[in-house]
Amino acid sequence: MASLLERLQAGAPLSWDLALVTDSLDDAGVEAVTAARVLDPARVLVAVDHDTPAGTVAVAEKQRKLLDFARDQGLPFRYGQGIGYHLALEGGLKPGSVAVCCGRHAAVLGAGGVLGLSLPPKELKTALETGTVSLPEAEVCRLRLAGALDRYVTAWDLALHLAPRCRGTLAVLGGGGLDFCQRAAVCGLLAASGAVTALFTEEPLDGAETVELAAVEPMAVLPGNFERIVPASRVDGLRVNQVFIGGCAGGTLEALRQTAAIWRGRRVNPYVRVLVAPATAAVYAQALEEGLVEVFMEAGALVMNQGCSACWAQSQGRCDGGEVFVTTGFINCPGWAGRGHNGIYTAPVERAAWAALTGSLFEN
Amino acid sequence: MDERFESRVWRLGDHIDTDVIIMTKYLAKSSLRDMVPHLFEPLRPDLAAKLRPGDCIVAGENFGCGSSREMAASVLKTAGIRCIIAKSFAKIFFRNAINNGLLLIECRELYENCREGDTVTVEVGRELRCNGRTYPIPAYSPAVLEILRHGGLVARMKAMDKSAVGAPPPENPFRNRHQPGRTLAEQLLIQNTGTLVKPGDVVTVRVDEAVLHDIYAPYIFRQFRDMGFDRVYDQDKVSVMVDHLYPTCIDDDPRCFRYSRRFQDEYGVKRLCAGEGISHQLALEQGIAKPGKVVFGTDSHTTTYGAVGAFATGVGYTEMASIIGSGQLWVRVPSAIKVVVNGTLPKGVFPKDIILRVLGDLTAAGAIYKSLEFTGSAIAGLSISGRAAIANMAVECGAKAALFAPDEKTAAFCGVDPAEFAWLRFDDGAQYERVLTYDAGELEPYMACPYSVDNVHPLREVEGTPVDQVFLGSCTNGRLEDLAAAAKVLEGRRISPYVKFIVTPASREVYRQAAELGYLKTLIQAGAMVTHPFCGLCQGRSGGLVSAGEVVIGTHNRNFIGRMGSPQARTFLASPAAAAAAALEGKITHPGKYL
Repeated sequence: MASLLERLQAGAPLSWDLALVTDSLDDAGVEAVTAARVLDPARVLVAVDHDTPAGTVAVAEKQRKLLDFARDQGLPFRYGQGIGYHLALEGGLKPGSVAVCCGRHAAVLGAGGVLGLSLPPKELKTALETGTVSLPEAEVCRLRLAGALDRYVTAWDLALHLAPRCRGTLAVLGGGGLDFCQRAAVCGLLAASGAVTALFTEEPLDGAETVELAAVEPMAVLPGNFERIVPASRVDGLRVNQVFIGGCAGGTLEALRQTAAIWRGRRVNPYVRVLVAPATAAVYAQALEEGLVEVFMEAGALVMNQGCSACWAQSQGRCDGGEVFVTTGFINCPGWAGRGHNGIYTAPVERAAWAALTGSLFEN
Repeated sequence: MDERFESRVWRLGDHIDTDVIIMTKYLAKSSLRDMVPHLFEPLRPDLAAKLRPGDCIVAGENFGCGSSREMAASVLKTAGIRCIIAKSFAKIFFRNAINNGLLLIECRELYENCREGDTVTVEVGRELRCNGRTYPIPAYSPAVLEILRHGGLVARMKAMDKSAVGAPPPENPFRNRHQPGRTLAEQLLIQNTGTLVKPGDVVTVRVDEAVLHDIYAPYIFRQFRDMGFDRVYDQDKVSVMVDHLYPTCIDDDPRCFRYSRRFQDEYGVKRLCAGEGISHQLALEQGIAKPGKVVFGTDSHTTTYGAVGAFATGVGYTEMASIIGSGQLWVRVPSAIKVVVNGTLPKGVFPKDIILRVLGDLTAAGAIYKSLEFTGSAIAGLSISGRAAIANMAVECGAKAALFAPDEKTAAFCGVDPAEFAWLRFDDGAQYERVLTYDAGELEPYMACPYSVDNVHPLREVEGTPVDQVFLGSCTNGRLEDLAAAAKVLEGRRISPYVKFIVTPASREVYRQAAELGYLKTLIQAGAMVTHPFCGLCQGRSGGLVSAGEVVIGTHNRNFIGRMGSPQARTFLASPAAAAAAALEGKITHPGKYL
């Protein structure tokens, strides 16, 4: 089989390896996707992962349609077992594979070397029926990460550093020695800030630009979108109302270990609402095994069920008024976590964990 | 208060519960006016828009049953409802209505003889006239009348002399002495008041503990200040429980979190539990509930504390404001029903099945304002958790309190010397209005079927019903032994692939122990979504709402129409083992074969 880079180069329709259908779809999207006659059920995963357990009756109705779709066509189905991307990777989706879905963070699959393509619902329907997908027309941006990040600089900072360069491109990254959580943060945030998708590869990257990791500094992005990327010092000292550690990068085992290391023997600030959510049931079980969950509970944080939780924020971790919500998640739209609320600050695990303890955001 | 008026009739049925009056999801809204358009939404979504100031509601039995939410009364008052005429009223709703100056009239005959749109003439305390007929109605007790004359409890408390708050109790000649010929409830109230009270007496009790909840915090705060209080009666005896709205699930929730904190900061309340678990479990774990205490909480399931021999019951937010200001509350001494359960429970039959059977036999209005007192060898054999599950649900038949005589288990659980409460015990000479006697060996798994808690059937009658969602949790059955029973059923197994399975431990301590004993891992690996310990789905605000046609098996305490989402969904209440077995098979099944 040709390498993924060669397949990308060829530009022809790709035969995808996995189609992921989740409840991130709106009602029209569910209608479009579930109208598909699926060509190869074994290559599909229907994972209800965003708003679990269902926050409203309307959401329950939508999820019901996905369940019926899976049951009627014999598709693998998981309800509330964790974030679909991570379930796919845990299920053995190999580096070099191609996955299609409608979720805006499909690039997170790139942390596992998988090309994750986010399609509009109608195109996903076509893909489900044909087994193939056309590549988006986008520059392939090859980046080789060299050196190492400074001690207080994180993958979140790296992603914000790279964001302007990667907008509109299909970013392929190599090197850097990042762990799974860090790779998920880079890929997810690049997609959130406008890259078509992003992935890490072990394949040789001919003609790649070099990114000196040592040059990356602590960064922040102001709420509302991913346009206003600023030095982290701009948000230093912000008083915080809610902290979420979870989502595609913050819910990984690495992130939970990191959080536990910071919180062990400490208590979260009583004026801050603090939520932690493991990405998947397997991560949750492992975190229990390692005693991480005990640390979270002792610290006074809430431990949520596995899944998207307060990154999706539609029924877990709502905010109001002028509240400041620090999250390891990748969504910061106005009104997302509460009507009229616009105070979502994406932050690295360390800074989120410290904000939970101190009640303030620090620049590093 | 007008002594005579005319009013247009809206006619509703029996058992109009507080969830039907105003759904839980609207309770945290910042004003009562914002809730008015949602009155009676699950039952008659078009009704709220038609209500006009001055209208009245005529209903059947047990109006206002269910939760202690005062909004059920205060939103009706805000909508301008002049009075409610029903065959009978649930006890907490009755008090809440009076405290809001909302007139309630008990009349058994009018209901059958009026239609919607009729005009009824009311002469308060004397009679009703409608369609040419006259119906006599009872006069109010002096305590009630005084509140109504003030237009509600806030004005009544505002006028109160506050200088006596916190004065030491008078000499009590009956203290720590067993009173022969008395029910447990009477003994507790005699111990508290120092007066030889009898059922029907209205007495003022000294409040040993007051437990208030985040969902009502902004309202309690406002009423408290409007009553003219500037300090709580005892900073050690008031507990703020942030258990309904944290994690924040709806936009209205963060405000309640902030108000709960403000309560602590402004009034120096010592105990605030945020995200620690459900108040009723915490009350047991932290000794808020102890034998002999009198406890009030802003949640109807406060009856749970009777498991350790505390006289405990739910109140509304206005009454709570008056309690934390004054340290006292008027109580009508309840008459009592004794429930005797002897023998040994068969395999697969749990304390939940005992209380379901009792609720089915007594019916939802069968113990309004009664003390339900449990005894017998099977009861003696139950753990405090098992007793708590029973006491918890006593409110579902209208009981004011549920009581168990404290024993060695109680002493060990509460860390007290049995000699301290030797006075509190069953007395053969006590007068019980009714005695129900059961042989435990003849009990079987039961289910409360839609849409009422007293629609109880043996599980076998509904066996095989396909199930879409299973909920294991709540102040009824979210304790360690409940998780243990479910883990035993599910050990090494996977739940049915299309079942949604939600597990919510009752407290951090329960969670911690369940983690340590491996139950959580077993449940997660079986396919459960284990949530943080809090009230969770039981409230029906979020976290597992269901769509039309779905079937839910829950270990909680209410299966009212629409409480868990769509009014076309159906909820069955059962024991944790029966719930786990349903998750496993995807249909209702007897849990015995997995135990």
